[in-house]
Parts: sequence; C-alpha cells; structure tokens
Amino acid sequence: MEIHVGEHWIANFGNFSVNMDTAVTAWIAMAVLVILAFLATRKLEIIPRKVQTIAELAIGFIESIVKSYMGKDGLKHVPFIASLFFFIFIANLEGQVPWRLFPLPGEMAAPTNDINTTVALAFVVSIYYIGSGIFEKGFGYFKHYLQPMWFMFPFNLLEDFTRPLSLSLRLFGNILAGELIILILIGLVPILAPIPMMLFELFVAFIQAYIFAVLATNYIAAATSKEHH
Amino acid sequence: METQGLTTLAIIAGLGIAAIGPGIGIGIATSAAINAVARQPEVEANARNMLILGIVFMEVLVIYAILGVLLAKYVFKLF
Repeated sequence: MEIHVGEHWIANFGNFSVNMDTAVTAWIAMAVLVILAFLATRKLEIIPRKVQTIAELAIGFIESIVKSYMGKDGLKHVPFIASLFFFIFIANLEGQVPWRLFPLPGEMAAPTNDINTTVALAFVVSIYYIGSGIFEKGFGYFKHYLQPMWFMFPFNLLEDFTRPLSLSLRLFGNILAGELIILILIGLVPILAPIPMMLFELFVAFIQAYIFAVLATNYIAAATSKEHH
Repeated sequence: METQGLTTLAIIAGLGIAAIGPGIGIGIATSAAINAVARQPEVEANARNMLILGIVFMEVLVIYAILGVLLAKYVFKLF
C-alpha cells in the first residue's frame, strides 16, 4: 500500500495555491462551532436545560483552567482560550470522520494535520500574549527580557521563538502520527484492528486541545503577571 | 536501490532508541503520581492533571523523531 504524507487537494487562485482539504475541514469545524453556539444561546434560562447545561459545563471547564493560573483577573482571557480549545478539539475530532463514504474531490483529514493550520494557531497565541503583556504593563513589558540579568537577553528572546515552534509542532505531530498509525494498521489488518487506536485518537484529540489551551493560558499568565522576579 | 532496506532498518532502530528516554520518563512520572495519590488520596484530580501535562511533554520527543523521519522522506526526499 502506498502512503502519501503532505500531499493535499490543491486549488490555484491566481498566484496562490490553497490546500482545499484543510480549508474545507476548517470551515466545517467553524460551522459546527457557530451552530452549537447559536443553539446553546438561543433561549437562555435561569435554570439551564439540555444544550445550555452542556455549554455551561464546557465554559466552566475553561474558566477553571484560566482561574487556576491567573485568578479572577484572568477571566477576560476566557473567550480567547475557549475559542482556541473548542476549535482545536472539533478540528482534531474531524480526523476520525469516515470521509471516504462521501463523494469528495479529494482526500480529507483533520485540518490540524496540516502544519499551516497549527503554525497559524501558534502565531495567534504568541501575538496575543505579547499584545496582552504590552496592554497590561505598557512599555514595562519589555523589561522582563533583561531579567534576571542583562546577559540573559538572547535566551529570553529565543523563548518567544521556541514557544510557537513547540506549540505548533506538538499539535501537528500528534495528529499526523495518530492518523498515520491508523493508516498503517488498516494496511495490516483492515477489519476491527484499528478500532482501539481510533478510540485512543478521540482521547488524544481532547488531550491535545487541552494542552494547547493550558500552554496558551500559561504564556498569557507569565506575560501579564504583576511581580516579575 | 540496495541501501533501501538498510535505511528502513536504521529508521526503525532510531525510532526505538528515541522511545527509550520518554519511556523511562513516563514510568518515573507515573510512579511518582501513584505514590502521591496513595499518600494523599484527596490530591487525585490535581495529580492526574499534572501527570497528563508531564506525559505530553515527554511523549512529544518521540513525535519529534517521527516528524524528522517524515520530513526527511516526504519533504526533503533524502531517501
């Protein structure tokens, strides 16, 4: 069996080429999120029912993560962290959808198994934490580059580059490796054998989204904390 | 090509070697978490979260090795 990695269903617009499989699955993830958000907030009640209960539980989960790092002051970052978490979670889950049952012009997979998606998400996080650091402390934010001593400047600067690198490669590598392992198992034993791995991938989808959210919270907390030492 | 088989063997052996370190690390971390929960059962939720965070940081090392192989094969076409 031939295995192709890094080959996409490509569409050309003028000088740009677009990975259509990634774009379409990312749009599907966004559509799912928008529809769920609409359903959950349509008829808000004091005593929540069905969809509203689930949505409140999910948001409460993100709030507990953010509170454990930043306390009550960090609650203004909850919308950002929650959007990241839910988008990555839905996007990772899309890798387990049996796309081959539908008549599609190309091969579909999770949008997070394209490195362009994960690098974009990681850059959003790094711009957000630098931005919120400057917003919180003004020009004083840049003082932390010289701490604890002035000669630590290159290492502190390097950190700003290694953070998005490790964030993006971790998500990309985990999702891609999981899908490859399922593909190899299908090549070995097509029936029943890949099912435990597929179930494990559902767990990995959650864990990776959780890790991404926790690390983003951690970076924002480090950038906005009042007392640096 | 006659080096194809050797290259495949080298990749598989390399991935196995890459898995040694994180394997030991995950073992140590899990045993520490079990000890912590056995001493103080009320910290279980906290210990589980920390364990998962730590395990993810270790597991990513093997993932980097796989990524290196995939990049070498499909992007840089080294073999």
